[in-house]
Amino acid sequence: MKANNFKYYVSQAVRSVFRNGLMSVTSIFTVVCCMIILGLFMIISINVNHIAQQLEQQCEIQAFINEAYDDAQVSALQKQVKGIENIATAEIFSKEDTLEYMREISDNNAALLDGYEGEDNPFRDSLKITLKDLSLLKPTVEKLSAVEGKEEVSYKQTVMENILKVSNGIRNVSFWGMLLLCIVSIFIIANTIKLAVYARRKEIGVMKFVGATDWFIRWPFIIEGIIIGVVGALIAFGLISWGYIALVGKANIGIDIFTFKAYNEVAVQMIGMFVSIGAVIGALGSAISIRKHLDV
Amino acid sequence: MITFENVTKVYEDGTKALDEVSFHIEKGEFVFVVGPSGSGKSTLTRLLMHEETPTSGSITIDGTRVQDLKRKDIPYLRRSIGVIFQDFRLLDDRTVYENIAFAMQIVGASKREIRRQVPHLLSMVGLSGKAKLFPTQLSRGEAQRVAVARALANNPPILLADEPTASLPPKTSFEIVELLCDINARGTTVVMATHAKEIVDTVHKRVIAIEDGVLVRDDSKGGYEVESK
Ligand SMILES: Nc1ncnc2c1ncn2[C@@H]1O[C@H](COP(=O)(O)OP(=O)(O)O)[C@@H](O)[C@H]1O
Ligand SMILES: [Mg+2]
Repeated sequence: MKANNFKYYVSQAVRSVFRNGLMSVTSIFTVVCCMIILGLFMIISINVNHIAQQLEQQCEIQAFINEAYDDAQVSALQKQVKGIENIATAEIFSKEDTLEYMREISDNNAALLDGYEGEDNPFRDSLKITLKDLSLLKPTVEKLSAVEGKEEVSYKQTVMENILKVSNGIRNVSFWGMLLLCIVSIFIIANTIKLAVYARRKEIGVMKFVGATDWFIRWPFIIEGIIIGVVGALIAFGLISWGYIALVGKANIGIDIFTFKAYNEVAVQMIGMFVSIGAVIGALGSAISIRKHLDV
Repeated sequence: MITFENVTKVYEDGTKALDEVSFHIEKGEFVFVVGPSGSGKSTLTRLLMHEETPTSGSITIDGTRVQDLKRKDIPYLRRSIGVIFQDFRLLDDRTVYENIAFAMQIVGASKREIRRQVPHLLSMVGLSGKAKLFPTQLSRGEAQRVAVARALANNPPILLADEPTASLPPKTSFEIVELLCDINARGTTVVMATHAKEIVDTVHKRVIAIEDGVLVRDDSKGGYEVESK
């Protein structure tokens, strides 16, 4: 493609986008819808991975201790547990500590826990255990369960599993929704290009008898499709960025066990994807239309 | 330059528009293709442009058999043939200048080449002062002159005209034909399809007459009808 021609193609394409104003706006709007869903899909994926990593790091095992044990027995138990292969730390977390912790995390409702001090403390002493290698979680827990003096072992893996389950569900739904909307966008763009071809049929006739090559005639329409796709993608990117910053970006909120990815990191991953998918949708739409209506 | 050998064209609906037509046109000739409406003149020009392909027979332009061209080569054939029509086919949303420049842009001409060539073409067709006007602001004769300038923009060796005067008043028609004669005098081969008897009878050039798709006469210095010879 000559540089001369490229300028010509782009100027023709831009002219056509404006000449076809209403249809261009409609197609851009469908691309925006499609890309917003793509954005949600990406945001969920990125954050689920991010959260899963954090949870893995903190995944903590709690082993409750037989209530009848005295301090000496408890420290003996702690030693024994520490001796188990793959266990990094095993801290004693007494029932008083637990009560204090519950108070802390219940902010306003902390008063509800008044009156549970001392003898009335409903919690149990436990060992908080972290592992060296998380992938060996299951066998380690089994070994741990064999140790006498502790009653049950609980760990947060189920939390993680649930988050993964829910997010996979959302991911699947948004993936199919996105695919559907992409297809809709492609056809609406194809229709827009069809109108553009129709609006310029006389010009195309002239081009043919003056000896324009097929690609010379096609390029402006393909670029017009790409412009529509990319503009739609950029608008969607703007909207999503705005929403993400408003919701999580600045405050970097999270639940106390994890945080969301910072906006910058999300944006970097999204922008390239958005622009390329927008361009591909646009190009496909024009290609379909050109095949059907341009006869070159 | 142009050779038709037993060219037959049958359209998809079964209409036989040309029937075993043969002729040869030398480089630099001026040829009228005459015949009543529906005799096959436009079909002949469309075959030359490779807008249609012959059902049988062969067409050769400048040594190349047109039917043998690959799809991607057709544009290059068309660049060697400037063409004008009865209805001018100018783009109304572009000025005279831009209409002519358009033909050059299409073949990848540079801005500099365009700036040099377009004024030259405009003065050749006698429209030097009209570059900035739009086609709707021109008389029909002027519009056809713009079309001539556009047809010549890329210096084609052949100029093809399909009833270029059919929508023009008599005086203007003669002016356009004079212009075509001037262009021919500078070396361009001109083929003009027409059913304008007065013009053909006045200009005295070679006449190829077609009736119902059959070549009925080929006179080197003919008139429109046999009697008027
Ligand atoms: N695309 C077409 N399909 C079918 N028949 C056609 C087509 N174009 C022209 N014809 C027919 O072919 C014959 C020759 O037409 P044409 O070449 O246009 O004649 P002219 O230009 O001399 O008036 C006519 O009978 C016309 O109806
Ligand atoms: Mg005709």
